[in-house]
Amino acid sequence: MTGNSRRKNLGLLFNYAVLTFFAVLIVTPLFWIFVTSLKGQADIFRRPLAVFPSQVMLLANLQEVLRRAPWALYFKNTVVLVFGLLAVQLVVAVLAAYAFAFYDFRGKAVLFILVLLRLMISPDSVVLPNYLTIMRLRIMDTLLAVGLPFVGSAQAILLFRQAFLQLPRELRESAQVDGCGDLRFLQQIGVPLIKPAILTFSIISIVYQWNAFFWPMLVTESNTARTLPVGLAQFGLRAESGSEWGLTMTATLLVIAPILIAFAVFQKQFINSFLRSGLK
Amino acid sequence: MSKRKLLAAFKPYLFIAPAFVFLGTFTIFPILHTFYTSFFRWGVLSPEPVFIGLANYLEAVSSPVFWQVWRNTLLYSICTVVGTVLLGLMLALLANNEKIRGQAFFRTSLFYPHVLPWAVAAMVWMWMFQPRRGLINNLFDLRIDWLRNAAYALPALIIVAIWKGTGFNFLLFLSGLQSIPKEFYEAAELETNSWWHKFRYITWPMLSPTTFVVLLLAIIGSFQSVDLVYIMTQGGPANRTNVIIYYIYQQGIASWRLGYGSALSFLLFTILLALTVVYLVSMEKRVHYDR
Repeated sequence: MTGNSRRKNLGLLFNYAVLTFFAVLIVTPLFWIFVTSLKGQADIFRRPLAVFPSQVMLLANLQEVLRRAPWALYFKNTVVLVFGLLAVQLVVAVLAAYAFAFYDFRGKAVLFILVLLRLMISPDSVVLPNYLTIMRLRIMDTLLAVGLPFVGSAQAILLFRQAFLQLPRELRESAQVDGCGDLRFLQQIGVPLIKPAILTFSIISIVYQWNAFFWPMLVTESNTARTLPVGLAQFGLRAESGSEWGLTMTATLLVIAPILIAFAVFQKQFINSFLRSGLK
Repeated sequence: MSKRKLLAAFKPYLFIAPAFVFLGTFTIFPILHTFYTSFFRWGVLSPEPVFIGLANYLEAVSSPVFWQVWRNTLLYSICTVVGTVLLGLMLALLANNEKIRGQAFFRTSLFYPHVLPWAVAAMVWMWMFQPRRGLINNLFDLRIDWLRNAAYALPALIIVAIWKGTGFNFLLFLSGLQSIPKEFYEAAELETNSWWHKFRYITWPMLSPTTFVVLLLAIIGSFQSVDLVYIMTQGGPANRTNVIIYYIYQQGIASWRLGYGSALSFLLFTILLALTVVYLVSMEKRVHYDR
């Protein structure tokens, strides 16, 4: 073995060591959710702290967690919000992106900058005026209030516009010659051809809305429209006073299980979507 | 014929109308409305808005809490962004080697926090930061009350944000590194074997357009984060973790001081607007480089 290749092997070992160290570090909280969800109060209070439970209490924890809060309702609210919102977002954004990609019109540049502006100003920054708007519309404490500010998605418009621009121009021109109108063109040719962009946005939107906390928390006063993260935070802050961390981590597990399963199954799509959204 | 022409001229507006109804109602109108109401005393003490000129802005800039809040926001943003970018870049450089096995394992275990809710991050880290029974104090034999200690509360939140955000930057940098043609390195190896030289003269210049955009978007994003603060510290202790959106919420919604909250919001918009202009100008430049 030459000195050079030995040095290279040593270097590789160093790469593995550092990568593994950080991987373990970053996985630790997830691991801690798992083991804590197995623990009863006795194990939470035990000193010195033991990693694994003396008695597996996951089922008892789960029963207590399900008894204390309407998780099925939170779950239903989250699913309805996420997929209902996605459907509307897609329709609204496809139409706008189509106009931005294929039409020239007065004020196009200014309107496009307004879309970009929305990309920079997150809905959390606009909470105060939007809160007043929701009050005026008298829809406080409904799923509508949770979803409305997110309907016009700049990210979707930009992604779809980009996808439309990459289609050959002749495609639309020849369709027009054949008497194919805009909507029919979109339905039969345009939308099927930008499917990858639609998939990318759908994954980002689902994850984002599934996880959203601040705004959904602000506009929900009762359980009727609460989503999973809002329910979790409420549950956890209440259980904190009694140090019922076994229960809180069981609830956390309940909330992240669907995300982790989806992430595991569609890992490639997830990662590609976030990559594409990151490099606009 | 002219009717058809008129229709054709209107068509694009019809297509963008739904999007702009929503963008208008929940982004553009709020910005203008906030600007208007920021000149009024309006809220708990004065149910009917009363014009008071610049008084809300003057109150803001003369309030120590306002400056504390901005210091916290900046510190949080910069530390989080620098932390996640440096760590992400370092790990991507280490993983960008075809001899490294288990790429999928590293990718998954570094990236998974990004798809979890901030509320979940807040919950599990509150438990790990717990002073008596928490993992961190027990592991390192410390007695720090992380979230209630004036010196440690903001760093604790920054640690959580770095934990959550590193994997995303890792992915971005890794894909950026993988798109650099190998021939560049092969050519360089004829001249030098120095890792630093290759990084300085090939990797970094090839990455830097990406890096700048990533940095700017990350700063803009972390400027507007509030979930962790709301759940973990409620801005405390003594406003040490109060960030701008939480302050707007506290003043505007919780204390119902709509005029003052509007002034705070509008100041935030102005800063975001300035950052957007920087972003647009830099994108324009990037396009020129590409040609």
